[in-house]
Amino acid sequence: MKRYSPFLVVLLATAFLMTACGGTVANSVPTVTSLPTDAPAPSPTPIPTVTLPPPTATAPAATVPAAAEPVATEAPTAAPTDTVALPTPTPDWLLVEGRSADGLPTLGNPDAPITVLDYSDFL
Amino acid sequence: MLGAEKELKETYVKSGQVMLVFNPILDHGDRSVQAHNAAECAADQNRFWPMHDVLFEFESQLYGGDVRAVIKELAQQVDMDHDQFNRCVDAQTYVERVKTQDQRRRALGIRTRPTIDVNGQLFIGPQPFNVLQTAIQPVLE
Repeated sequence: MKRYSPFLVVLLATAFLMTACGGTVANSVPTVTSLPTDAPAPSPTPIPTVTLPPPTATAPAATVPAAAEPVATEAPTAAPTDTVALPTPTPDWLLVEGRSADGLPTLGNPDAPITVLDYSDFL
Repeated sequence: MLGAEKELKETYVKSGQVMLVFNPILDHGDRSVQAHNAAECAADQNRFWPMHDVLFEFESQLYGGDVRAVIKELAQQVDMDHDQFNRCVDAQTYVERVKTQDQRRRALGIRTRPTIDVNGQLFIGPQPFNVLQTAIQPVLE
């Protein structure tokens, strides 16, 4: 029997395997040269914006109170009496003198329902 | 007026149900004129009715002597300015007024004293209180 060199055997086996796999080993390993162009580019993480209030036109209120105005030291006067509703006292009609439409002296309530007219002399 | 005047005042005038009115009758000449003039002088100081009461109470004194002096003396019982009152009496300030009022009374046909007119109902001569009350009470009810 013919004896083959071991080198040759290995060479043949390697060639067989390469043929069976359909290509060179180098071609079977994908090489990454660039990212796919159709893939969406990762967007950067948005930086949250902070809206600051606009500066106010007026200055903040002063924290130091203005000097107090002088206060009257006089004691308050009594409340006006015309704002207090007082009960109307019943008049003593025996003290109410007046005149009739004819100029005669009268005594009593001018709105009384009854008039007693006395024609008389003092003598 | 009348003996019923005091009761009228206490029962009806004081409560405001009746108003009294006085019209002079001058039946006694100048004495009557002087008395009524004096009452009007007191009215200047809102004292007609107190003077009216005094003159009625002491009417017997008006018949004699100097009537003006008597009136001035009687007026001392009334709380008022007596100097002012005396000047008014001496000036005869209201003589014409009382005469006019007396003439109007005559024109109305009032001849008897006293004559009392209760809301148009006439009572001739002095009347007791209960008679006047018969004219007053129905009006109040």
